[in-house]
Amino acid sequence: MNATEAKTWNKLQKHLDDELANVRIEELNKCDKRSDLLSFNFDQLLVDFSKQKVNSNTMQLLFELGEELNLTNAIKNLASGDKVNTTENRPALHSALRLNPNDSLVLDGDDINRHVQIELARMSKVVDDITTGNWRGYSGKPITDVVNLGVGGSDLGPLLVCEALDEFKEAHSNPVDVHFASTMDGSQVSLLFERLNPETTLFVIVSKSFTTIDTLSNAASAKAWLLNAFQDESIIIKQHFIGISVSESKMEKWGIHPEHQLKLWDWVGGRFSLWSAVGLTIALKIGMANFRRLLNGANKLDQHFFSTDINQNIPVILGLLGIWNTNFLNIKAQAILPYDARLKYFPDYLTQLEMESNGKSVTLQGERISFDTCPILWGEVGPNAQHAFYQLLHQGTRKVACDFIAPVNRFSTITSEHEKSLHNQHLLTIANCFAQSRALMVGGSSAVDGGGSSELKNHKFYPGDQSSTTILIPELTPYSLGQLIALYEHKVFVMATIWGINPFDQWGVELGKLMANDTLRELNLDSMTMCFDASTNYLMNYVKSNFATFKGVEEDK
Amino acid sequence: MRVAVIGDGMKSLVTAGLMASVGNQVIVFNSTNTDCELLMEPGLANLLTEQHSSGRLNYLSEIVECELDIIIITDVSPIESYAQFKMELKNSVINGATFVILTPSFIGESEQLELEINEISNSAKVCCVPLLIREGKAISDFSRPDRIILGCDDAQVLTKVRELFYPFNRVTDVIKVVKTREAEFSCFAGNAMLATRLSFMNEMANLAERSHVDIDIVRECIGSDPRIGRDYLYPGCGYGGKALAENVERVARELRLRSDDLGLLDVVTKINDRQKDLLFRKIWSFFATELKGKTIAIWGGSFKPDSSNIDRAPAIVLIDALLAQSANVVVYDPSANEKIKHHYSNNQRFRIAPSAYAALESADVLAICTEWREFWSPDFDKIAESLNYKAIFDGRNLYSPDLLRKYQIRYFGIGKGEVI
Repeated sequence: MNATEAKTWNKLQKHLDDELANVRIEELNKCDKRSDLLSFNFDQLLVDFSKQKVNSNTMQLLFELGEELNLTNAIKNLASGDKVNTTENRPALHSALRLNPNDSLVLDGDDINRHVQIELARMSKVVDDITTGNWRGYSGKPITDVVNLGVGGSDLGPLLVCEALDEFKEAHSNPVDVHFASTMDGSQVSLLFERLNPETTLFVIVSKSFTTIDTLSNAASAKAWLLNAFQDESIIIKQHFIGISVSESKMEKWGIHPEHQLKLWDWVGGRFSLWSAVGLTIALKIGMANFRRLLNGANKLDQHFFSTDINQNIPVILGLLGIWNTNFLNIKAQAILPYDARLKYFPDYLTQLEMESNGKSVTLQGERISFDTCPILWGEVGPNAQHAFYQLLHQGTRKVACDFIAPVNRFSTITSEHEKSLHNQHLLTIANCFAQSRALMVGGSSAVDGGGSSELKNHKFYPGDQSSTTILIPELTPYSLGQLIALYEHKVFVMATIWGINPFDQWGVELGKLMANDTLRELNLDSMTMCFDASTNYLMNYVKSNFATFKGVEEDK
Repeated sequence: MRVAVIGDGMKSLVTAGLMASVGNQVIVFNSTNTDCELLMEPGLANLLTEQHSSGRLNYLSEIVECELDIIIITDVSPIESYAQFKMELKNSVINGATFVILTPSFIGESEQLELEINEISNSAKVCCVPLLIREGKAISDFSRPDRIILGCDDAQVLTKVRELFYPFNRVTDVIKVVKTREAEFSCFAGNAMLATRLSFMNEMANLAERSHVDIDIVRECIGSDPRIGRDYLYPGCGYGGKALAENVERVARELRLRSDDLGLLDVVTKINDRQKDLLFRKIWSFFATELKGKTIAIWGGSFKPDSSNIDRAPAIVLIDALLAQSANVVVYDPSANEKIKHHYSNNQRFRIAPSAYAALESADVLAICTEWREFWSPDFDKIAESLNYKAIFDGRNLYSPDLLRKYQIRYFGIGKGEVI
């Protein structure tokens, strides 16, 4: 059934028109008991929806919509390994990557958790070899730097977690620094080539298919850089490359040593894969025990998602309110605003997770759909964004839904003046977080004493009534971060289920890749390009005719 | 004089034995631990037996009440000591006794100990005499010292401590009187200087290797410069032992607390850590990374000759690294065999050999980690015959590359021999 054909869909529309169209969120919050209805606690995680434009009837109808569109069933199918990724005919079992070691999940007669645990053990051995200094480079020196070569899901997840959990770095006997290079333009790897020592640098090639051109071109440059230092190719590949992929044959063809191949499965999407060997750089940085804590946090949230009634199910509510905001309140943008700089890559991570998953316009049945799906999602560390795009949130013409995310505890061990000062900074940050979500809700005027011309008064007027959710984690730890990421993963699934789309494929990224092949072939030819459209032909020929010229200009400087 | 020695290590036994040998009445506290290992120190076992049977040397397992002139503290780490001291000395008669610290642990230790002890007794004084007592040469180091740095902050006590060391200061007066802090600092600075010289030479050895120069020739050239001198210029596979490393770390830590520290001593330590890994790296390259199943014979396990001490020994670093690559290791050490055997008792790929040549049987290559005298002029024919890959990795630069070429043995030293 198409979502808009659901009876509840129309009821929700009517409910909005009748009860909420002319009500401000601020007014809804005049009721003291609102948090009873709209604040949800799970395992020290607090998700507060009270600054959303909803009342108890809205919630009731949203749950009915979920029921009508078989959400409970869909969640059950996801958990049990049904082929929910219909266009690729496979399950989406990222939750299986974080099962407890003794759990089992049988798929086609095979307990896949057994494979997962074996791979985690192999990953643990690699982590151990590297962090004890037993993994040696070609010259016999222990590895000091590990570079993750991957893009998209093979980059953003590990990058997010490594940055966020820097304080959980483990004091290994041979500590290694981890680096990330994703861009096909080579700028990131070339910078690393400048800074790192080939003798002690190990590259991890992460590509689910092991055909990703961005990653393989970076890997090719890395190999050439190493061969420039030491000419025995078999030793270079054996001691300086690890492969992480579904395709053993492609890793083998590239030359990855069998013991240095870590496996993925086709039932894990790239953007859902940081929990697998794709998280190798995470484990190298924070240690296997902390990596397990990350998995445990996510697993706890999985259990909540899979077993809680939808009216108490936090990812479900997060997703249903996303539907409400997008399709009924007509809010076309979603901002992610962490009030903790350690989460600076979280907005980037969610940009991929949500927009690559739900940026779709065709239903599971292959029909075009007529309503909005995934909003434009972006974000930034909250306090910095206050000095960047909050102007638009406060006084622009667009409605934007915001997710405010903050830790309750930060810098809570105070043994010195500077720690006291840091703790005060934390309080200041929390104050700003709450002040901003409140200001966005209540709006008003910043004109003091009503002074100034009426024209200036308009400039100082804030319409308010922007919807937001506030997520408070007890403190940022591997465990709580695991929960937070899993929360959004499941939110994405909930929204996709309501919209009737497949969140686990990404056909939208293919066309450009195909066209790039022809374009590159053409770019390598000296002759004028005539075979594309006028615009592209012009750009191609402009570049071709200026390769040499502009280079000369640079040298003259 | 009535002397008590508190401490568990070799130094406390040497001190007690020699103090008794010159006529003092000596009690050793805490030292029920006269185990075989400590008695490996040349001459020590005899000394102790003699002095004990003369009646001048006695062992007590706990501190008892008795009248004492001097209490010598050595080989005791301050953390365990002070709390324990206060407990144990509370009821003891220590009035009038003078404490002498032989192995200081930090700058200001004497002053602190004096404060702590004076909570019990007002008249206690603490001096610091950081004698150079090297394993393997401990008895001669103690009885014929080149210098005695006597750290003392009180003139009366100075006379008493001078008297204590008088029998060891007879030929020429080698006592230099300084403040206790200065004595402690000198002890650490001296160690740091020696470590720096060694690491500097190791750095030069690396450069020499890449410049096709024999570092031993360079060592002789610069050592003949009187401004430099010949000692502690030997490059090698790293210094081991507890004292040197700990004392360097102590100064490094103090320096790190200064805002303008550039990390000289951290680098000294890093260079030394690298040196300990150097033989492994050479062997790794020699076998083109394929060490699994290879058998490496190692001569020398103790951190220096004439000692069975394997604390921070380069050989241990090498053995660990080789075993981690699934290589087999056979070790021979003239006196540390038992200790090394115990250290690797659970490893199937490790064994010790009863003699230097037994270690070579079915070995692929030989590595040398300690310059025991018996390794200086071995039967090279026998070595060449035994090794599957005729190669020696010499961490102590014992041999001449030219000589080994005659035996068709490939030779990889530290800053000399083949480059790999």
